[in-house]
Amino acid sequence: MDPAIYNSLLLIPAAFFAAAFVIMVWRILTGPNSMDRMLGLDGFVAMLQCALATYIVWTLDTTVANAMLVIALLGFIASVSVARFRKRDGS
Amino acid sequence: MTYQLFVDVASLVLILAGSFLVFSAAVGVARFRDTMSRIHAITKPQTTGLILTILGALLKVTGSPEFGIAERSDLGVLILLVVFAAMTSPVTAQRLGRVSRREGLYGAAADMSRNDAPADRSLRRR
Repeated sequence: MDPAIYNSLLLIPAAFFAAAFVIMVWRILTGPNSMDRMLGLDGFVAMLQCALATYIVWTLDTTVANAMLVIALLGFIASVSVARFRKRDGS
Repeated sequence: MTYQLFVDVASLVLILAGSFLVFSAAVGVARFRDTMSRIHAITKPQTTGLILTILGALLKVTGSPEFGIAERSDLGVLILLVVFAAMTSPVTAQRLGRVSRREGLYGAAADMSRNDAPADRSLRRR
């Protein structure tokens, strides 16, 4: 397949990830309680990994794979530790 | 059908499916009404979309023209990411679900089926 056609078809996942980015940031900002903000952050981390994978496909430069690994580790540790050590809202 | 064409089509299909699943998970996070439902949206479609997208990227990197030693070592990192996504998603969902259950973040009782309804004990406040 022609790389120009392939890269222009990659605009569709990019639009999906941009919409998911906006929705997740909205959920993080306006979550009713802190668990919703944690959920939004969890989805945001996974969405960021998907966007970086699409970047790898777009540029065929695999340097970003290590950054994806760091993001996955940090997101997992962050959500688990917040769920472990959080206090109830309003206390 | 050359390997190049096969890799292009397969990776495009995988990435399109993965991005649609990620977008549908985001829509679920925006539209579901309580925290327990949002945990459902954030674990299953999101992790499936992540795994599909990474598999598509892995296929595309395999078929790229400048596929050498460095790209081959980064393929291992991508496979590790797939394993890691499948490993950490149940743990996160269990922790978040446990905290949400203990705090009674269920939403309206009329929205739930009978099996999902919490026991009275778990709705008690401190």
